[in-house]
Amino acid sequence: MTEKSDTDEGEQVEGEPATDGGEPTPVGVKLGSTRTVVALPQGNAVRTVDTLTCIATYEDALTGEERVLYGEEAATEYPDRVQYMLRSGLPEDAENAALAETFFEEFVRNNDVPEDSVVVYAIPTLDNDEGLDNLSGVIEHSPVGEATIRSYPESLCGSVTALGTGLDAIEQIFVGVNLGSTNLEACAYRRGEQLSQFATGAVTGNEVDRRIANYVEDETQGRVNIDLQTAREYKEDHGDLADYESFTDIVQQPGGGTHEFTIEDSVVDALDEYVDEAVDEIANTFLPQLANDHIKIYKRALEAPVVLTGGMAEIPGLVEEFEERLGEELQRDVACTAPSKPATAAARGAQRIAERFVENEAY
Amino acid sequence: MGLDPNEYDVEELRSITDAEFPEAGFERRVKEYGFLWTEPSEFRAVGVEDPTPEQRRRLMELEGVDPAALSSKPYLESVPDDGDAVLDWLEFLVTTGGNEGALEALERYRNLGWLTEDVESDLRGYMLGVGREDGDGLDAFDTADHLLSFAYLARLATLTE
Repeated sequence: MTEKSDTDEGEQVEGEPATDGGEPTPVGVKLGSTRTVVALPQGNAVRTVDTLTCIATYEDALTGEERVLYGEEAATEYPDRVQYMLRSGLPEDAENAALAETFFEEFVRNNDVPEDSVVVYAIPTLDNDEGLDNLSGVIEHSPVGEATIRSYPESLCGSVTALGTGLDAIEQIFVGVNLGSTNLEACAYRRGEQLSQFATGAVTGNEVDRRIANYVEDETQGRVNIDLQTAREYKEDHGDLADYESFTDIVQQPGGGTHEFTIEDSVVDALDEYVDEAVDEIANTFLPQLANDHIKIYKRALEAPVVLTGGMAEIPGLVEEFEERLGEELQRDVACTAPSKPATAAARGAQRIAERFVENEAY
Repeated sequence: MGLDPNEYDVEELRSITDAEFPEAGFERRVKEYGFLWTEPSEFRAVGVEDPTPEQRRRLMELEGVDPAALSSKPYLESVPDDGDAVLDWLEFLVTTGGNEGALEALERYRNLGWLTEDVESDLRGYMLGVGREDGDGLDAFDTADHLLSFAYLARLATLTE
């Protein structure tokens, strides 16, 4: 499989995942609409493994048995039949729930996630009871989390890694904003307690991909059409709001030969619009709601940095742009911060919480 | 197993951190004596006044409240069934002045005739459902806070009709 693996907070140590004296292993999981990330200890470090949340099945030519591929391998080798079962953030129906179950089972098995584990899930706060029930089924049937299972909002888990080294975030009052693929989620937290939560599916990383695809077509006068997967790759590889540079790519022509083209503005324009819209939602919908419900918390929370998490916060310069535009919109100084690796932050934060459950033997 | 991320156990989450979440004086008192106030405070209202007619008109307008709902004192003679609206107000009071400050404020409002003694007593009961916070007491409230409180009360008064 072609997952990406990384270590955090310490040196990478080869070997089996740490299980200290028979204690369950603390594991953090983010089952994301685009990527799924698992964080687990390895020696003194935390290892993260991530892969695309997709699955493809095919028939073995020799045995006739159904085989399963997931992640990048499935997306690359079976682009025609690959399925993203959490496209909307949660499994929409029983079929997608079954696919998600198979995917997650394969993923944790291939990455040696121990069954005897405390698993904390970072979950988007979508108002979708059926989807949540389906996800509960996926998690209940997964082979991991024998010791205990908990779930917390993605924006809280992501903020844990941005604010201090332990669980400092639980002691503070702050606003967390998760800039995800399928939703924009914001919430004020008062010492771990959720206040005035907000989520919208109108401003998303997926919408940025769609716009990039459209803008590329416009910019090349219709000569180049890219799919959403390519648009996402353009966003991740070339998206930069601090120091954007045009780039070239090559496509195969239908009648033979190749066509080289340069993209000047398509990616940065889509990102620019995204930041404007995200700031607008936060400044003009979420924060007034917070001020109306909890005026003092609103004041206190804006004195602290606003924490930006989620895949879109990975775009270079986005946090700074967001900070500047939010300040302009609110007509006051606002600071924004982000964890070191926003895309995996929620899983790493969830892992820290799981670790405390293990340390306190609260399982 | 409930996996709704909006329904996690805050106390459990706090219990696994290194931090101490000190109990407010209010909570200590409840634990120590097993009840809240034994008798009303002798402290009398100073600095808390009825809104001026203009302030009152604007607050009514802002809250979309029919002025007839507050035609005569006491404005609030019973606590509405909408527990969330009640808790919103109490939470605001607690956030502003801590639990003790909130109780002091309610007493002042009762002295001003904004609410009845029974309502004050009921609201004290509701206070058990609000998180504990230390604060600077009634001194932490400024005029704007009391006006905002009046707006909350006006909203509750319409819900009891």
